[in-house]
Amino acid sequence: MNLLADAVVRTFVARPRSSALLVGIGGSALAFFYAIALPAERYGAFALGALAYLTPGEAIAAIAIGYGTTLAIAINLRSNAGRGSDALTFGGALAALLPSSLCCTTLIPSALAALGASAPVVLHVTGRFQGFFAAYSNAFVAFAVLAVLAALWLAARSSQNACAISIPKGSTP
Amino acid sequence: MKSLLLSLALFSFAVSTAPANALAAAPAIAVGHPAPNFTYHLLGGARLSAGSLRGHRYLLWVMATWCPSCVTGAHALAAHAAKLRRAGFRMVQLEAAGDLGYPGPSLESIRNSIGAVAAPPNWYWGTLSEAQSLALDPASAPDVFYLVDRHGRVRAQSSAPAAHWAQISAFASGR
Repeated sequence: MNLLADAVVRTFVARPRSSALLVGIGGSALAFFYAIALPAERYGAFALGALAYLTPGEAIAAIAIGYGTTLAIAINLRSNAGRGSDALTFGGALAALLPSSLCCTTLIPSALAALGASAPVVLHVTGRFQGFFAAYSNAFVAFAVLAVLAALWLAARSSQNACAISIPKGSTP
Repeated sequence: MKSLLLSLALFSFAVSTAPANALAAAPAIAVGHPAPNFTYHLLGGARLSAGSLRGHRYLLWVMATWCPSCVTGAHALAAHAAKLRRAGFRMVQLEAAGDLGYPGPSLESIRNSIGAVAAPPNWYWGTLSEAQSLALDPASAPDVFYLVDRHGRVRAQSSAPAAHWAQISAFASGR
């Protein structure tokens, strides 16, 4: 927990404006997207009306995925900047999305949650496929939340390592 | 020998095409056309013919019991049951044959969860035969409904009653 808290503090101290924008606006937008996507299967459409069917558990999952994903990206951006890429480039953002291993990126859990919860609505798959998605949608969402937490932890660890190896300018190694 | 082979070939052809022909014989539902004149098997053993619904606007809904939007839709309709009853609107909720190949709760348990409003003559619950399922739900969608007018003609097709309540409400009110 301290590892994550330290990483968050380092990130917001190093890049207060861009981190706040990314987590505040990006996280809110992503959380809002999931707040619609997660109950869309029960509602029957990917529309604002689905919000009326949002359960407390889904609301927590939407917030965790939305803000967790953008926070992991912000931490990774800061870590990458410490390694010499100061600009918020497209490449930097991409590198932040793919922090260390493919299984724990923030892209995959997001896709899984969206797929599990709203694939039947969006893709119009039928019969057995839709039954499978309907039966295991909660498992997809739970896995997505766990994977985002794992991504956060990896990002925090990466941030700590970046600090450990950073050398002040002008000093000799 | 030749005639034996010919007979076998004809027999195999007849066997392989018979079920398809039987299913194809069922009239397919289409917007703008009369709803198929089926007789539905209702929970409890009663039967309901499409003809007996003439004179009423009604919702003909094919669903799977494991379908989340179907359960939500049923509860959404139940919330407006009094209004629909006053308008003389009927609902015919039918489980697709074999629950579309995926296990789910019983239709009866869903009906019971709705409560007393989910009862005839305003709300009928039943199951479809294979042929009826194929005619009313050729795409095997777990949630598809039709709005049928007083003359038995299909006026609209949609899915997910909770998401399309406005459309159902307008039709039930005659708008």
